[in-house]
Amino acid sequence: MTTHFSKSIKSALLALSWVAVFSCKPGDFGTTNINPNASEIPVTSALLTNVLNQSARGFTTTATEPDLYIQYIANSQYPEASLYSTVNADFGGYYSGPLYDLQNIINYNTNTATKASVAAYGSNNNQIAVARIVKAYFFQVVTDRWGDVPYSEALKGAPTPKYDTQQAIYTDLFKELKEASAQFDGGTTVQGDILFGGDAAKWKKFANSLRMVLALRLSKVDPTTGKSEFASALADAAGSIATNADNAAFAYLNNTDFRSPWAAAYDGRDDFGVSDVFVNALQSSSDPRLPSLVAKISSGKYLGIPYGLKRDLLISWTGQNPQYSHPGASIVQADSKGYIMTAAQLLLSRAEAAQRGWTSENATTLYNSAIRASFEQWGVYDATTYATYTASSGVSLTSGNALQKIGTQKWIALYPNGYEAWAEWRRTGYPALTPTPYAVNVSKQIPRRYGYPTSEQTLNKANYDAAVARLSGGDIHDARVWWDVK
Amino acid sequence: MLLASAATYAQSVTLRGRVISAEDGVPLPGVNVAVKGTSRGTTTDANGAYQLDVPNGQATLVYSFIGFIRQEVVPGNKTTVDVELSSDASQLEEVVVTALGVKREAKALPYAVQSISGDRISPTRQTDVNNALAGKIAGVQVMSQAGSNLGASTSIRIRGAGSLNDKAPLYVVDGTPVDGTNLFLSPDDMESITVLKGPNATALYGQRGDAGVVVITTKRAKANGGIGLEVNQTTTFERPSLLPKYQNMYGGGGDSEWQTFKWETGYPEEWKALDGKRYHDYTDDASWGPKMDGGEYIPWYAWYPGTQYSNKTAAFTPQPDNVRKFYNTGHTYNTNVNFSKAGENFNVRLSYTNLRQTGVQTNTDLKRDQINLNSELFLNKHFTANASIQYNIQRLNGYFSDGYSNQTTGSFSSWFHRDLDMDIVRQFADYRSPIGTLVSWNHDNPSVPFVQNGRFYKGNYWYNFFSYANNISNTGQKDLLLGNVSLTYKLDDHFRMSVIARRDQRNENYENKVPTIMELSGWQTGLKAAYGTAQITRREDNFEFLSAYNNTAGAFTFDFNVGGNIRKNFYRDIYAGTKSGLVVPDLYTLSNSRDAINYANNRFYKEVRSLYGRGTIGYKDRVFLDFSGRNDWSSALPVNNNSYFYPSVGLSVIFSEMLKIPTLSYGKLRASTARVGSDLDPYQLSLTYGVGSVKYGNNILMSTPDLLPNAGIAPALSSSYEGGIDLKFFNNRVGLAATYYQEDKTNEILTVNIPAASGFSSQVINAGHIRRNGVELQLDVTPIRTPRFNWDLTVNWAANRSKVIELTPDVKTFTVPNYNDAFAFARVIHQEGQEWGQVRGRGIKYLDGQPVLNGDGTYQTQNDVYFGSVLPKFTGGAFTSFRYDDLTLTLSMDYGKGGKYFSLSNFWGQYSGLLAETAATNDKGMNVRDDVSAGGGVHVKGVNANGEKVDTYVNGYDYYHQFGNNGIAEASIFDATFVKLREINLGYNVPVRKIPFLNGKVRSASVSFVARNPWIIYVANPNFDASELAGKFGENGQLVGTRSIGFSVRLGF
Repeated sequence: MTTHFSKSIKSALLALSWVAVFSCKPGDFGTTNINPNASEIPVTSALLTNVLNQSARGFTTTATEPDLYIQYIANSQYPEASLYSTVNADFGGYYSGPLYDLQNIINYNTNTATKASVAAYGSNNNQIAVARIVKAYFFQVVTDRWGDVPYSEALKGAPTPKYDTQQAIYTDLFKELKEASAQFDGGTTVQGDILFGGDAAKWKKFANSLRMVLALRLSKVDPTTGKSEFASALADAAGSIATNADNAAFAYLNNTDFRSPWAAAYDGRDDFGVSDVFVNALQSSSDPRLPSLVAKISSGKYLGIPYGLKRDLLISWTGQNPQYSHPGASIVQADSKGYIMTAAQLLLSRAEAAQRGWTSENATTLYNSAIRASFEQWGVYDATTYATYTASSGVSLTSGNALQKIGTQKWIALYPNGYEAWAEWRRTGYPALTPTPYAVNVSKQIPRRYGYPTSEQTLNKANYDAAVARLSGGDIHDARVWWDVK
Repeated sequence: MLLASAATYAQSVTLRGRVISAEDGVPLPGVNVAVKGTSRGTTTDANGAYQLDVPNGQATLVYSFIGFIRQEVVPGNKTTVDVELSSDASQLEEVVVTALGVKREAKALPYAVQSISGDRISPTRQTDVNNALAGKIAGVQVMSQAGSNLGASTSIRIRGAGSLNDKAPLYVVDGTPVDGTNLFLSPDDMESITVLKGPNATALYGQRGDAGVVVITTKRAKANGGIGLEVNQTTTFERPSLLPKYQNMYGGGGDSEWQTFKWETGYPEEWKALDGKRYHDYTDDASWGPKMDGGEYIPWYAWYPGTQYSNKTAAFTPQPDNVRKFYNTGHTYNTNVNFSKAGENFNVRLSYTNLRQTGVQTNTDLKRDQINLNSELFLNKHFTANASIQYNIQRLNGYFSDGYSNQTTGSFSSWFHRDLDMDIVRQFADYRSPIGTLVSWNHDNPSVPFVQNGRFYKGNYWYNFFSYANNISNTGQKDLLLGNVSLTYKLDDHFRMSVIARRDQRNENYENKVPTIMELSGWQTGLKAAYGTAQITRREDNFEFLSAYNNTAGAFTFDFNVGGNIRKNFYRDIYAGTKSGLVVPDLYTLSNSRDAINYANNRFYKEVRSLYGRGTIGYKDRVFLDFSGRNDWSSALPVNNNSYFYPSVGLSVIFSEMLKIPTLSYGKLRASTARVGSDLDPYQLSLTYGVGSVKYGNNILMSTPDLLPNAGIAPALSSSYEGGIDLKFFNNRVGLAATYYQEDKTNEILTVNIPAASGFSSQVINAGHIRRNGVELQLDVTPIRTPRFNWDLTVNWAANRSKVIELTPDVKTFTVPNYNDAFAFARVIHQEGQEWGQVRGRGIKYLDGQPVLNGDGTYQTQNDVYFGSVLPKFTGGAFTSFRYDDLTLTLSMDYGKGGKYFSLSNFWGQYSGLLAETAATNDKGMNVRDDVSAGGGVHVKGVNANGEKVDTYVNGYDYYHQFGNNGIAEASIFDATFVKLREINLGYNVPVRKIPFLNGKVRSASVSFVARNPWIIYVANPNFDASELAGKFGENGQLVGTRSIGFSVRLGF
């Protein structure tokens, strides 16, 4: 028994010593928890490339919903969106996507611990300047869609950012664009810039142009500020986008990953045709851009889909008309261009500013130059047709209704950039559009904003409630953003 | 045991005999044979034989053996008494396998444990471990998958949900922790399944046991007289079970107008025969077409040349069985052969299972081969070596998708033409059009340009279902290796020590091929010729040591374990696929991709080190104090805070031993409390940036992750309390177990949504407080027990409530990731103050309980309506068996009450005019599709925006489109209540010893009739089987459920 017991003791000691060996440093795992799949430090130029790749896609210039609202296109099979079924849309993707990537570029180029290492991708100032300009561009799209949105407290990782008023956001965007333009320091060129190749002069023109677009948005709500901001941008020595060579145009590539979203939309699906409204408008004015903007059907005709039919009527129509016009080849080709901001658009903005008396420029000259720039952009410029077109009574500024004509020309020139065209239509009311009679929304009117993401009602309730309280009619798409004054 | 001296009884008689198992005729060694009322007795030897002197023939002999029903015999004049003992499932539970594989007496356990064993595991020999639990264990909710989805893995929830992340339980096979998904074990290899429910039972398993533990013990060889060969064969035949109720009045098309074909130049000459005939809309895939009036029309297949149907019209008639006709009869052949032998120094069991299954869907099959080896070598009186190895290979072939618009149910219930004759669709499976494409029922309407450019000869949205299934090739192979080897040193009867190495390794290999003909034959199908492949390796290794000590001191018993463990989790995958089609048709290599290939490659590694101990102190076999403690160190936690300790303590009292209440044969009170800690996945402490797989020119792309990590994360701890009572009456013929539990999970490690305007859409935090509590009841009754007839009944019932008491100071809502349908019409949300797992989506706006209607009679909508929790209010089941001589009938049923789900099939089935209600008769006796002016339409009652009553009719088309137009989930939210008879086994135990030509050659034989899912007794929504939902939110167009019948043969030699 005694030997037995001592044996047990021995074994227990053996076990304990094993425990001791085993547990000498049980909490030390060395490098085990270092992620082998990803880097701890970002390549800021790769962040910029990623952001710019999104600068002309669904977030911005190539979204089909505003193209439907503005009646550029019509649904061919499932008409819900053209009947205004979307009320709430999510803005989260802008913030956690491109906006934070831009903020991260700014952070890494600002933080003293990291700025030296990321300077390999362009001088710190140049990188920050580009990031601030692109950030302003994205924020403008966001605020124009929803109105008051998180801005001053956004992108800080703080869980519940407040909503700034659109007015405050616009004020800051003007400041940002001015400061960013001035921040280029002539140092190392920004890497990863697949929009302007690191060309600071082009970025400055883009910044000034964006200031003009923003300034003009204030034409109804605050023309005084609009006028002074516009004039200030116009006076800037760096200039603005005035020729197609300066266009902010994203070059899509002929492969699946970077092809035009329009090419992707028609690869295996056929959900959209050009709307009869757009086709008829161009046909009635014998617009020479028609062949470039709209494709013919096999019979050699242009045939737009009647805008806003409900589903059974639409299917009945497509049953009778199995073919309808798609956007033109220069839009739907895989390696076409995604126009973010163009000379035609800016020249029309300047024409409008001149017409409003904000500047002393000649409205007619600018207007005609804009039409010519648009023709050239789409490769249809011909001196004779240009002269005929600009002289026609529906087009010529001298025959009256100047603002309406400028608005209509902008509608055509912006095609197919839906968000910008929709914003301009909301601001000016041009061209006059009739809502679909089959609308499924309560007001049956064309939406004037997007409802806030439904997630905000629970995730960020207090700030959401404060923003909604500032909206007339509540968080609906018939409420108007700040600059959209009746 | 005592062997009484014969000398003391002069008139004693010597009795001989054999004791065998009534179920399989296996001799039972070690059975107690006692003379009632005396201390005389003996035990049977290795061959089940015994010899015993009894006073006289009138003495009563008592045969008892653990796990078997005690039997009494009066020998009379006989000198040979052979006895067959029937197993007693309720007694088998007396010894249970608990944490660390320690076998313990149930009476010493301070918490609820339930086991099933033997034939109860699966009367129909199905191979999914989780399915086998349905209705048999109180508090286990089984979420089965559709039978047509071969190889799909069922999941379970134990005691509802206790965590914000719906964690799966831990599975442990012979002590080895394994991944519970795709865990297919042959029922012939399983000895028992034990479910450890709450943290009190699972504390020793550590963090991974906090959602419960399913402990599986595989069979080992036992000494028996035969040659140790057993053969089991089951063959079953399968047919689809529940299908939605479809309308059978209106045919295909997006509008109800007939169109008339006018031949013109450019069309094929032979189509002149069809000139002037009518046709419905083929292009659109809804069924809002014209009435199926039996009249002449041009069917979809008349346009193709060279068939018996070419250029001929047909009658437009309903095809009520067209969906059912799509399916074949499935076959399953499950064969098991096993060998076992046990001797004084060893036991070995080798088992091979071969499963061959063809599904109800065309071109689907599953092959599974399983080898299970269990062996033990008793090297000397101190050392025992053990090896237990399970190797499975599964090959799955065919197209299975539970997702939206899958090419079977995704069409039938969402987008389909009710006029299709499925036999004719089948005849066109391999037909080639004039331009060489495969043809579809869903082609364009005839037009000269589309005929000339070939588009007319392609499928618009859909392929011919059979062409699709025959041409698409999806194959997957899964290899599974589970096993452990151990060496035990036994010093004496009190102390032993083991070292054990365990492994769970999975290798998965997938290949998908889309032939070029599919790309050429589709118009809007979006399909490109493609080749994709993936390889995934998962491995978990556990190295552990365990020492055990037990002893007795006076009235006290002691039982202690101390152990340690190192766990290593390793994962690696490589995915690659062609992009935008193949260059060389039908050449399936990655390099044949039209664009740069898609690829991804991930790996992770995690390590957890643990030390633990447990003990039980017993007093007079009546009072037991149980305690445990465990400390974990996790590599995934911050270095300065990666250690966490959690204890448990419990007490059980066998009060029946003290109180001696008549009729009460056993009574126990138990109570326990425990904490459990947990960690998180690796690499979540800091932001890291991956490089995208594509480049813009030479520019790489990178993005900031949307998940904000947390370098200060701390281990999470939860605490729970449990109490219960176990009662047995009337000599164990009635047993009742009741348990109440409450668990509080606080400070969980969560990935919560945050406002994305912060720059991140989610964040890792420590937060939250979930409380779950519930009651579990189990009743075991043997209402009839006679030598010839026996009836056993087990009924269980469990109610659980899981409530989200607190989330975070900032965020009150947690959107459960990936718990939404394909369109996110409905999501599963945890909302502070509400029950766990609310289905949320757009609803109808109500004013004082009345729906608010727009001017046109459609509903006004309301965002973010909470429709209720996905968790059932209560669950349960019943298991019963009747034995009459050698005939046994076993039935297993289960039910769930409540719980909400969203059905995407219903959503689109209404939108597309497929479901019966879209062509129902209204209260005026007219069809809802008839014009409202003619008395048709859906009767709608409600109020307008001012609260004034509205009573109107809305055209059926507009009524059923409003839900799709406005994304209203409410009309597709259902109650998941169901009652289901799940398994039937009618078996005959062939009395081999009474049949001369079998006796001595065959040890045991039985034949059975089996049926799986024979009867869906009740479902709240009769269109869908709520017990087989593919997603936690509901269903996405899921595959069809099946019912199967067959027979089973078992032979032992």
